[in-house]
Amino acid sequence: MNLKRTTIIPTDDPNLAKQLFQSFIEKEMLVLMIIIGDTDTIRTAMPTADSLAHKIYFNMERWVLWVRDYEVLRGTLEQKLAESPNTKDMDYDDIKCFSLSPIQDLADGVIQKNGVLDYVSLQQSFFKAQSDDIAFTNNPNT
Amino acid sequence: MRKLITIVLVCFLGISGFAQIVTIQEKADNGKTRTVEMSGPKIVDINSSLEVDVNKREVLKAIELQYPQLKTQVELESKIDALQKALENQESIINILQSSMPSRDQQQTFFFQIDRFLMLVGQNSELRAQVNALYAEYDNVYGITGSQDLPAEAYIIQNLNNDLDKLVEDLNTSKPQAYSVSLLAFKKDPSGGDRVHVKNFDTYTERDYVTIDRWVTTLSEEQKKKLEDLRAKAEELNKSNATLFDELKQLFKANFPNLDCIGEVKDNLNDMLQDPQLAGPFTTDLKNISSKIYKDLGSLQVLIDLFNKNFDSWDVDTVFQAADALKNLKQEFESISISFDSFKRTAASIATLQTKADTLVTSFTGCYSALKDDYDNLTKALSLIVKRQSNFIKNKEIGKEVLKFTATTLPQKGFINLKGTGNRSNGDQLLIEVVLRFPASEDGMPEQIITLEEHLLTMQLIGIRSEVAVGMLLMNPNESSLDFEPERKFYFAPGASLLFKFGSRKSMTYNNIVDFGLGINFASPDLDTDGTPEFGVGIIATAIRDIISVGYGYNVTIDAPYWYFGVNLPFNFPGIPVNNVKTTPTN
Repeated sequence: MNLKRTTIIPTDDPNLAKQLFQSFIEKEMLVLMIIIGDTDTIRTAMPTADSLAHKIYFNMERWVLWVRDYEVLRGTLEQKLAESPNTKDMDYDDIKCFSLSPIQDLADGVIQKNGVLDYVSLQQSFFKAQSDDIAFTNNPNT
Repeated sequence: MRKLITIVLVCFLGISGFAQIVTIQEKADNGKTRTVEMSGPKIVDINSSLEVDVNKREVLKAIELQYPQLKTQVELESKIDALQKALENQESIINILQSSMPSRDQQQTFFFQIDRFLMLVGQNSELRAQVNALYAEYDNVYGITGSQDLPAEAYIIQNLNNDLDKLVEDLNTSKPQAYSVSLLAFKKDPSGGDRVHVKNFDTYTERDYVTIDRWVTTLSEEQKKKLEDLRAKAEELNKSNATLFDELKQLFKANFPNLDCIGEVKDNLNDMLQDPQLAGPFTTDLKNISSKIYKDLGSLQVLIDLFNKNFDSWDVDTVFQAADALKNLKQEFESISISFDSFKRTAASIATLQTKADTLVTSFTGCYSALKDDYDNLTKALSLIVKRQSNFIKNKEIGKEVLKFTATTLPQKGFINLKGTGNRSNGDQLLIEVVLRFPASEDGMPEQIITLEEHLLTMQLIGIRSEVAVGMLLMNPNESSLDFEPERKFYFAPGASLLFKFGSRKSMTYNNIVDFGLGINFASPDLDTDGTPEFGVGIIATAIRDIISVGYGYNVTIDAPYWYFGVNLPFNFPGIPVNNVKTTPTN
């Protein structure tokens, strides 16, 4: 699996995992996709997500974080979901993918465990998150 | 056994992949919404609004099942429809994608439109697979970073457009069969029924806006009279409903022309033609006219006789045959009248024929006038029958106001406001149908209609309601409380009750048969039989649509409790005894 725009979060060191996640959060002008779990479906979908992360729309970079274990960033990710208006009522354990907007880091574009991970759904997830911050990433006069 | 049947039924439905085309949501006045259970008794509140959801996928399945010839066509149409919808904003998406500096508003538009595009693609498994394949193909052709000149979505949209063109071409070359799908609703009540407006599916106007009162506590004199009038009228109408057509037929038959006078005119004419004394003055021309009249009168007799005989066997569906026959009759009348005018003119020039000709013309004029009157009456009677037929057909046929859709252009939702369906009563029904329609193959023939699914809902005031009921009671007073010797055990007394009843949405048997009521009864017995009504008040319980009632009350005039029961049959019982009023013998 040759993933060029994907970071695999370590599962054996929660502190390191959190620091890595935080470092991506702090990067602005970057749409971040979080994929959680390590099933065959997810392994098959990772190259697709990575490929979509290479595509840049309106100068906005994309990156994928692969969190293979639900527990390693549970608190952090649950908090992100709870803070975002479109995901606040969702159950972390039912989710296998979502994206964070580039400036406010709002969670959006959730793909639930029973959903399909393919170009269509992953691209939709990236776009949803990017659209949440249009007001902050663009000059209103342009 | 019942469980076994249920299991078998569930298995069968599961295997056959059966699902409903229509699901119905009921919205009550208080804003509460519930889904109507299609496997249950389908009882809805009489004052509610219904939201009819149409599942297009199931419409397609039903069409394929009931009309397999349309399968390929419907599949093609379905693909075309899905593509057309997904590509709705294609120009805007591509323009913004290829713009070097899109504004904030443009980006907002793009994200909204691309989200809709991906959502619609995601809803159609075939289209989804195609788009996924195109994304992968794009990566192969342009590399993982893609092309700035042709972003992935622009590439996909271009390819989908090519597919759409090909599908449209395929559909056109396959010579598609014209068909349409409609959703219809009818109200069914004891007097017949009426069309019901379904918003988004037809352009019928709503009927009178009527809210059925939940709390009925009084029955005014005016209402009583109106109710009586209405009841009498309803009975008359109900009775006449079945026989009206036959009665009109009788009226029509009563006006059939009397053939006797035609026979007389024929005989007179024949006498004239056979009279040897008149053989000389009769010119060839006049002979020809006379022969024609004689022949035409014979034809008229046959025509009327045949019409009369055939008319017995015609029913409400075949009235147009009577109209045709009447038209022929009129033509025959006119032809004979013209011939007679000609006869009159020609005969007038022959002095020796004058007397005989005048007699003949006079008898014909009288006969013609009688026939003309009969004909006019027949026309009037027929117009009544035709009107009756029109009403009959109007309620059955699908009006032009019902909109036609293809399986893919069907609206997702239709709305029925039951309050807008005019007057209705508990137990009236609402029939909702999804039909497949094929235009007539020949002019003048009706269109072919295939019902894909139908649901019969029952309208009922759900929950507690009040009703006022009147009836005859049989009272048994407590003897120890009376200061006189009762003449009998039970006394008849009229009573009125304010009843509280409950409308169930789960049981038709309860609503139609059991129909318990509980309330207060006011009665005016005459227990001491002095001719002056007393006043009694009590509690009452009723069942079986108020036919049976039982209760306990107190006669406040003579301070005596009583229990009572009532049997209010929906017809008069002959021989019901009445209380004999004591009369004081006059000295």
